Amino acid sequence: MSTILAGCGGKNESGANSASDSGKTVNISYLDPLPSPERTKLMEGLIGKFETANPSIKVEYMSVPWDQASKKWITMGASKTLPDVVSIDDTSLAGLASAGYIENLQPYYDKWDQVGNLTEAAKQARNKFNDQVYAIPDAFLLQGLFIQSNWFKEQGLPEQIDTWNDYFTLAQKLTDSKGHYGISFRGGANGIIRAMEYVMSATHSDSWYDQDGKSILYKPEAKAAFKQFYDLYMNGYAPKESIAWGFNEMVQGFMNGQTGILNQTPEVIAVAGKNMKEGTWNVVPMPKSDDGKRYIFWGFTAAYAMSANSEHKDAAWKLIEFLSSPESNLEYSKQNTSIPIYKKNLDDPFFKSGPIAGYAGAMADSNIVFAGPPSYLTNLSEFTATYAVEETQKYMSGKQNLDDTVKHLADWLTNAQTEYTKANSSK
Amino acid sequence: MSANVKAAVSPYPKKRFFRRMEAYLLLLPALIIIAAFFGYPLSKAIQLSFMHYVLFEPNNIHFSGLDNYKSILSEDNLPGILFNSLIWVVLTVGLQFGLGFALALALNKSFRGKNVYQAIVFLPWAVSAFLIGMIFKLMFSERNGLINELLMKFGLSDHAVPFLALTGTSIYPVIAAMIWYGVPFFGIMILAALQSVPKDVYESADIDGAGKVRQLFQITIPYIKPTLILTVLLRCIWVFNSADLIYVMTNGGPANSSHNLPSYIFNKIGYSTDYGQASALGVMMLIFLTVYAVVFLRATKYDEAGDI
Repeated sequence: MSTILAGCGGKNESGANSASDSGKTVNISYLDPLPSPERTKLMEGLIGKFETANPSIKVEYMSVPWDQASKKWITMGASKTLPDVVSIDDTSLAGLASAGYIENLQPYYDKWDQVGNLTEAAKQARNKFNDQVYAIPDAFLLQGLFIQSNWFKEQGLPEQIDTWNDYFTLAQKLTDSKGHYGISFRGGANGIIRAMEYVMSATHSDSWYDQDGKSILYKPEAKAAFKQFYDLYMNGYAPKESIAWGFNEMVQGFMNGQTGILNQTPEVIAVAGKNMKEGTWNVVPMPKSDDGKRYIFWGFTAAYAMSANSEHKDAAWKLIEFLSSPESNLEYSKQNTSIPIYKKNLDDPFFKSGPIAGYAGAMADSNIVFAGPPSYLTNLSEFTATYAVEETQKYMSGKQNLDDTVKHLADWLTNAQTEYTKANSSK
Repeated sequence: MSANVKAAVSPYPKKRFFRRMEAYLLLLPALIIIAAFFGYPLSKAIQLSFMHYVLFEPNNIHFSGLDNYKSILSEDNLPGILFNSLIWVVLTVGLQFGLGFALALALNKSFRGKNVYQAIVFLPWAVSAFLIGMIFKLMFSERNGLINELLMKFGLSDHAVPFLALTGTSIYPVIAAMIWYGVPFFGIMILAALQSVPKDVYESADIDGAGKVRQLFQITIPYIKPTLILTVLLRCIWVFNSADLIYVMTNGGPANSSHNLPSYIFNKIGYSTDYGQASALGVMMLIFLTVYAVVFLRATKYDEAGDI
């Protein structure tokens, strides 16, 4: 391994190498943006194993809550204090890479002996900037629908949601005057991604843009789909408060029996399993579009990236390599109820039964279409976390009409795409 | 006389120089600290406010004149956010002041268990703003929130109100939390001032037949006026600059309806990484607050305060 690494680094590595070769301890740090008692224990356990295997490297575990993580990465990047290894999401990757805060991992990746074992999804993951790998995905998450199965039973409904039409009909059927609502609606940060997932499905599009680089929201059928999606909230099939709901509130709303359907990623299985009675809930695959395909947004939870400013890049890569090894990845994916990055790990019995089986199977489905956001845009998180939130909340609260809302969103996206194309064609 | 002085001084020019510069030399450490910790960030903020400076566009950083100011002032969101900032400060400081004053007057008497009671009422000041935000968010929530439970129990509402999701009024629950948070500050400051008023002034007033209300307005308030003015001045600035409770309880939403100026900046810089525009907003805030401080001190006749 040391020979492989020798070719990968700059000045900093040589210092680090000599430090570890001479028996000195190298201290590196790792920033986890998803702290929870279970996950922190898991990560600390993995780090403990890494330290046992690499006695000359000590890892300091740090964490920051997910909601503040994006700001933290940027601030730490700007002040050159980003920890040596940091888990980042795919909407922030392009921004952090373009600003030079995270290291280009392509040289390490090219020499990594596990590349051949990765799943196709892992190879096609949005972990690149200018076609260079900047982060190694930890595990994959994709959308699935959590349902209150006892509500379905009470109404004599089959526990499945085949098509998007079923989804909208069920939202209405599950809403009653006793404080039950059909949908755990996401009106706050990143809610637009859920809406676009449906818009793409309704318009059979695998991109947020048409071939001319214009937002698909300009299309009349996209506008109609947008309206239909937000009607779930406007017509009262979601709690009034969900105008501002993010991840935590959506999950809480489902778990405390307020909402009947929750569109969420598999890591919620563990939380639901802990807090809800067995047999009262289940997970079904995302609905199909009328063309028979499932347009689903999938992505990694938080990929391991390296600080460009790290003084111990070889030690940092060793940690990334360890956390991304088949053994660590299997343990991580099982505990985190997410989809592993290795083909072989998918054969584990864990992924063959229970709610997770639907997710794991969907990844192998040939009718699955990646309906993810244009994560190559460096300002995408500004759109999903602030601009689109403001615009859609104005619409949901009746302060702005549909036409203006959709036009503003489409204009913003089209401008961003034009800027991106301009900047990249001049390179 | 002058000849004597000249004769006495001329043999020691160095000593004379040191004597003359002594005050400046003694001030030097303080000046260096001010320049480093106040002057540099301030000048950097002013400089950035005239630049196109987006962190995610490292190759596109340039001087942009008044562009940042122009785009901020032409923003549709600004009037609403300025209005929010105004009611945020006026309601919060006004009620914190009134309640804090009442608290201080009540605690300025001796009664059994005063120390325990004093410790309890000053407790909010020691709690983290994030925790307070979380607690109040829970209290005002539509589902299982204490406020909704009480409203429905006493028949004041027949359905749960989504307080934090109403575009026109979502800032008021945050103001309620902020008031609760800051009352002890006024209480502590005013209580300290009240304890400095000499007892004999009240004794004389009693002898002269002045009632309690007259004593309050003609002795107590004029006596502690410098404290009152400074506390209100500082508190207005702090409250104006405060964004943490808004961030935790509503994050400025829905649709920007509960943002004040700092929370808006925080969001803007957090996601757009546009340091130029955020700095321009910061400079505007500095100008507002400076004008406010000057006008407030003049209007309250701070120079003459404390003379009775």
